[in-house]
Amino acid sequence: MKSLFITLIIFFNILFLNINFSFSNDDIDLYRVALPCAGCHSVSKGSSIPSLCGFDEKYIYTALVDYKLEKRDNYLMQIIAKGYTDKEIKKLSKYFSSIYRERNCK
Amino acid sequence: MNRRLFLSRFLYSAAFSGLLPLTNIANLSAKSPGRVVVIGGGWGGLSAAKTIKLLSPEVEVVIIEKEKVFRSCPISNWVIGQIKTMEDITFSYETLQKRYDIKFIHDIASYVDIEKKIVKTEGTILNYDKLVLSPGIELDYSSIENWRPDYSDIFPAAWKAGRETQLLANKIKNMRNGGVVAVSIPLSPYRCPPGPYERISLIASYIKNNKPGSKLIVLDANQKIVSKGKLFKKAWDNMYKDIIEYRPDSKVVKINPNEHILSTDFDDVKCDVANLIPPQKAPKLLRETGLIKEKEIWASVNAYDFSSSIAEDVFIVGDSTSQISVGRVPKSGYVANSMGKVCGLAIVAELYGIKKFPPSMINTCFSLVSSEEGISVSAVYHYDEKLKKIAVVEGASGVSPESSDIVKDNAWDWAKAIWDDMLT
Repeated sequence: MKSLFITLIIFFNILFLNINFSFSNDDIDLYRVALPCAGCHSVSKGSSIPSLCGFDEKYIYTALVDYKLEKRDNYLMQIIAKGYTDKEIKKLSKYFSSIYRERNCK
Repeated sequence: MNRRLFLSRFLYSAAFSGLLPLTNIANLSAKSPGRVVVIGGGWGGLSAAKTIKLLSPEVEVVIIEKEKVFRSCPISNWVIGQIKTMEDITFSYETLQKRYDIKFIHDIASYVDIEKKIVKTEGTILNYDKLVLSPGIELDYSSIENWRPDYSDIFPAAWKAGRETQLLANKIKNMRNGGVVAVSIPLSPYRCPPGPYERISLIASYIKNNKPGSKLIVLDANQKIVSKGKLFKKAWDNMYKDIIEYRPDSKVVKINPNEHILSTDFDDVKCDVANLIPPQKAPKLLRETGLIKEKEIWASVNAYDFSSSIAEDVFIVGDSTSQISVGRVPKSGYVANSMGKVCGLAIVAELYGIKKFPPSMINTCFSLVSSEEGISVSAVYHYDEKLKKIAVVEGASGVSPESSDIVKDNAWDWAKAIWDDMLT
């Protein structure tokens, strides 16, 4: 019911206010978890903190899970990965494998 | 309309995948959903502005910032420690301005009317739909006897990157051999909890190698080192045993500018170079606008979206927010950056009448303990539904194991990444 209500609001906004929507609720949820990562991980290569450019979803997912379980070694990422649920790790993997495409990378 | 929406989405995703420059999609807008005015072009304000524009180029975003360039507080200790220059930490706003179509007004915001939703600067009056306040800190010398503003040349704080940073760096560089440096630290909370201790480490590292026989006296108003205490202490014991003299519970209450003396209730410390870091509070503009509760010195916000707990359509991010309302997050650059993103997403959701999501934030603070080695502290934060505050996700906080050159490399690369994140 609530989501129908939200959809209606969005629909009327678009129809009457002539506002363009270039994002969805899902986008906002993805940004919510992923944007803070850009504080360390840039799109530039040649940094001691890896760029997240050019990795596929599965690779990022496995790496984050392994950091969380301390199967993969890094003093900092073992702390950070523990901050996310499995669902959030899936979102992060999706975000970084799709948005940080090769062409966006320096 | 559907086709238009599809086109907009297509162009937007194309822009993200690097096929189109981002500025092109701004032209698609038929009507702006509103104007967001951001006061303060620092870590919180820039992140809020960019996040809004990333999601919705149609929103008009205006930043009011008195400085023409961005000077970074993080890494400014490296300038004082003679390993970087002011040039290395000074950046133009131009890329951000052009790429995201963000307007800049280089002026001082002198008045906010939260009823009429107006901001006045010395040169203009602007109305807003949403206001973001990210004004940083105000230095508060009221508890220091004999203080006068023109004494900042003798006792620089260098706690906002700029003229005083260079001044303090010069004083250290020009100090005689066998000189005494005094650094005073205010009671917590203040901007950047590990900042004073990194500064002390870097000054000690420099005088150890360049100013034989010199000493560094630390007058800390706190009972112990506020952040990364064990790691700093270990580094100081290993490297600076004969240089650093650490005095806890030592609040500076009086100065003597002619004799170069900092006084606590117990001692007078005469020095060649003094770095007086005074207590801090939220800036005057927030007080005058009525955004600070009585008897408090920081601004109260709702931790879910950083909206003011006093005024509607007003958001406050960064160092000027009260930890009583936000939760136990440090007043750090990374946190201000994360807060700006949370608030930017919330503003977009409000302007379009869509759902808000709970905040997710990160903090990592790197500190150098010498010109070669660093340490770090990190945490991931979420919204605690019960406390209605930001809290550390259980298990997701900790420090680096020990000081190392890898952490120093990480520190510099972190700075480059987060500057890019905010300015490009």
